[in-house]
Amino acid sequence: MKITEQQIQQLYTFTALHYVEFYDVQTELVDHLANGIEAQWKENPKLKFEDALRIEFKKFGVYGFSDVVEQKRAALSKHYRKLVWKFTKTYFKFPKIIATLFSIWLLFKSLTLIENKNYIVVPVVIFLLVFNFYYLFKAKRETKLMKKKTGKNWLFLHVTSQMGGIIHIFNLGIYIPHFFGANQSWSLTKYLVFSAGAVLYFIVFYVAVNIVSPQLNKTVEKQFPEHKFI
Amino acid sequence: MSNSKLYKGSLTTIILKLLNEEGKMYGYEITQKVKQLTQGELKITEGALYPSLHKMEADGLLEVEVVKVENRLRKYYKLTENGTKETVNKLEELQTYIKTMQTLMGKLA
Repeated sequence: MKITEQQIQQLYTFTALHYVEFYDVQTELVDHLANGIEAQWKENPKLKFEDALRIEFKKFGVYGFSDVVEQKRAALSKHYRKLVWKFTKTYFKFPKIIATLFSIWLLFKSLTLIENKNYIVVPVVIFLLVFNFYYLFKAKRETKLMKKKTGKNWLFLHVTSQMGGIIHIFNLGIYIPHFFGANQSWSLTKYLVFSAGAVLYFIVFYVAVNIVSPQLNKTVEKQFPEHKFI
Repeated sequence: MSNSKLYKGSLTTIILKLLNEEGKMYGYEITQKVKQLTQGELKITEGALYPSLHKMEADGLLEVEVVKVENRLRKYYKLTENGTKETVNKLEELQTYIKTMQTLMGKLA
């Protein structure tokens, strides 16, 4: 006996009721449950669908699907961060390192030359924060749009919108003026740390938004070719 | 995972070796194949298998192919180039572990 199309839909609903909201995770679990139920029917064709499902679900242990979802989210976030690190490193290797060092030097030099450092520090911090919030807003809008377009929630979109967790580190940017003491005069070391930090912050953000997120979208699009994420 | 905690540390090696032999497999198939090969001695639980597969995928050891089979989508896993290299390393590691344990236990007997 084989699982029907309607029962497949019931399995999707079942996973959603058990806190698996993401289609890219549900799909694998639905196939697993369906295989398990069909195997049970081979042994006992009279077994009800609901009873067979209960038996299969029990095999996932007391935490049900929650471990699967959480660990998938953690693995995907780690993968995202690893990719960001991999591409960020290229900005510290030849030839990109020239542009990186030049940007740090330019910012540092401007800070040392200008009478009031805040004429540079404040616009730089505002620029980075605006860049940050614009991305957050855009990512949220895209996730909503994809949900509307595909009718589904996607875990990978959730992970990219959070930049694999990196976004939380970026929010520390708010404390930059406080940490550096915006109204005090700075030492050369502070100028250098600020310049290098701001450039690195920008590079990591740029890499995540323009390289890693599109790459992950492309990978998932290959897996689910009926949906377009780019 | 299954009956013994000793098997837990070898789950990655088991999956790598299976995929190396079979080419591509899906989650349910892996649990059944292990059960069949060990005559029920080793049962990989679902709660252990999928987190391992997802971690290996994220680590670049496995790649995924989603295929429509009958009325549902099936997620197949296969080894990447890195996964194939890692299979050799993990198997060597396991052999060394078994040999060391045998030597140690032999001397303690």
